[in-house]
Amino acid sequence: MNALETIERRSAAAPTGLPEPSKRTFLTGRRMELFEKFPRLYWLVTRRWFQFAVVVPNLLFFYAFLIAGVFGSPVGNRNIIIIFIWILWWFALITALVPFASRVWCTVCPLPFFGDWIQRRALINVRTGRTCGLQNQMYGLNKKWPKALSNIWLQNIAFLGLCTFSAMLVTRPIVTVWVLGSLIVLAALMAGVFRGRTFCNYVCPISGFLSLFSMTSTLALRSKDLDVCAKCKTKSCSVGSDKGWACPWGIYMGKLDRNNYCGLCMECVKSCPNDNIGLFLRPAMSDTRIKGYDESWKAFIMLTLAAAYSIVLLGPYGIVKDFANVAEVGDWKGFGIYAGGLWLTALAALPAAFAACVWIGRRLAGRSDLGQKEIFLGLSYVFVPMGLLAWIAFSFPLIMINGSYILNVMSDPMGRGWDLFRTAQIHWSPILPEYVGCIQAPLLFLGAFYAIRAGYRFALEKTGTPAVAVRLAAPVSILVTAITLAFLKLFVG
Amino acid sequence: MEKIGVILTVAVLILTPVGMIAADRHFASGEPADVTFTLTGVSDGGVWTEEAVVGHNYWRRTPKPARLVARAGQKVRIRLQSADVTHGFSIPDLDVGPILIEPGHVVEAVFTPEEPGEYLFQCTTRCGKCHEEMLGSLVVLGEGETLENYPGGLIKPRTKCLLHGRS
Repeated sequence: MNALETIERRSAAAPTGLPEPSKRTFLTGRRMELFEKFPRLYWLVTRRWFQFAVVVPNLLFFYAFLIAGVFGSPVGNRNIIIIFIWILWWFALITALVPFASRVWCTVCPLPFFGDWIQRRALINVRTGRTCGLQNQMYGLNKKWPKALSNIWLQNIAFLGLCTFSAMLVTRPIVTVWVLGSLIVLAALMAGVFRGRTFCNYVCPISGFLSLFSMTSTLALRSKDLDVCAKCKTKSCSVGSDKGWACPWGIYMGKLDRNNYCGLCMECVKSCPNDNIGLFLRPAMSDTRIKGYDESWKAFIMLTLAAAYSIVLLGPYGIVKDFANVAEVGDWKGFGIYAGGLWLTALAALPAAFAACVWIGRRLAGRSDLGQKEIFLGLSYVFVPMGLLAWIAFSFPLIMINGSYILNVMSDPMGRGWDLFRTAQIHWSPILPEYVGCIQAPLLFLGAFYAIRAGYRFALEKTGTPAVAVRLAAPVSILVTAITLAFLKLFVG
Repeated sequence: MEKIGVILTVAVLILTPVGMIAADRHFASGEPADVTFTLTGVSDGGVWTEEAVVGHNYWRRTPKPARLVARAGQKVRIRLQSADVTHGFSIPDLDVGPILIEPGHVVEAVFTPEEPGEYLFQCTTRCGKCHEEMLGSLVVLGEGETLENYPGGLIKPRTKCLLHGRS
């Protein structure tokens, strides 16, 4: 069956784009299957060249940014690597890509490009063969990543570490070059040693927060019918086939119930012999299950960093700015206080406050039979929507205040006097700065709403009684409200 | 298909830097002159320098102060840029400037010195704690003169700002 016949068949099978109700999936509630609604999208992602075609332009830009970082102006706001990565890319990622397109960044990310080639010795084609139980010929050592490190703790620490030095990272082009350059080299080295996307799964500091916040996304790749997966003899999504590579993320679609560790590379869509993989549009904040302490702590870290960045970059506290900006100011004692405070809050103080709220909630609900760990993990999800919305609220002023620099560096990416599009001379002008607070406040309230709702729903699921659920979730809801008010005070005074 | 992928990848890896170098050369060409200099102002080190001060070396060392050499009657073009903050440029004895130089922008000074001599140029915008040391000179050689006719130079040995302004 050729591609166009496939499109016609899929369109005829589900003209409304809604899956048949008898099908068993991990998705609940309203949803729309995009491959059926937009057959050309299905056609596109099932082309072997699809991922290559979306990564290569990104690789070109990434490469140009690195060159600009090394040979361009050392002034951050005149170098494209700073403006495009830490303002434009970050804003797009956190406000649009993650909430509405899950981990689609991973689909186009250039960091693992060379690593993938080392493993596959192919840029587009798929190689059949047998390697470590897979139906593809793979190169490299194909070692297994240690089980003890098969979590996101490394990513948690790496991200917190990077962010501790963010004052340098987001202002000095060469520091960004070092960090991103190191990541691309590390990704390639790890691909040569370990199987699949071990780097992305367990080491990449960006992947860590993408995995957590992708839970909130309105987009999800899932099995359309779990019974079909259960009966499937080939499990091609997981082990590969002559049509697609084995899932580089190590996922079997029959068990994929959350967005966290799916990089949307679309290999499973190509390789599934049953045409059983769908790309679904669904309500926001649909994945609500935190599965381990590593994920809980990622949520604590992300919320703490949103607060820390808001204080350092947006707040009026000069002394804290000086503490964080150690490379310029040279106050190592102050930096120690800043870094110590940041790590202590993210890794101990916030989790301790949250644990206390969980403990009190269990006592209030009179349900000490519910385990502390179970409730801790379940309720820690409240920091996912809250953290995401806090990050979005923090990111809006970045683009509104610094957005005009984007026009400058488009014309003069290296700050060397170019003027490609006649926009290099445009003067810095903030975009509606007086409305920043009006955007931030509703975002914070929305985050608090989603957080409190998620906490209550989890409590209701565990207790079965609304009144008891309210008592179980109340202390955490109060903590969420207090943190929201603190953010509000910081943002709008 | 695979061959196209390889060709595209290699093209990206080769053509990206080639394109950037070509663009750099294109935008560096300006008003024709007999002699062209590129001067970069560095606030932390307190220097005007002819060295390329870019991302990879700005934080590592203070570049050498510039001593430019031209011949009397030659049309001189100086491309001025800043590696950090806003600077000003002036050669008072030749009536050049003051010219404001913002980081990321390139401003040109074009003039024709007629009288031989060594002319001091300086930063005219308070740019940091090494501002006073931000000096350099243009040596204009007369008929039959060489640099040996101008021993020593106008610029005093720098003491305060040897490394990023931190002595």
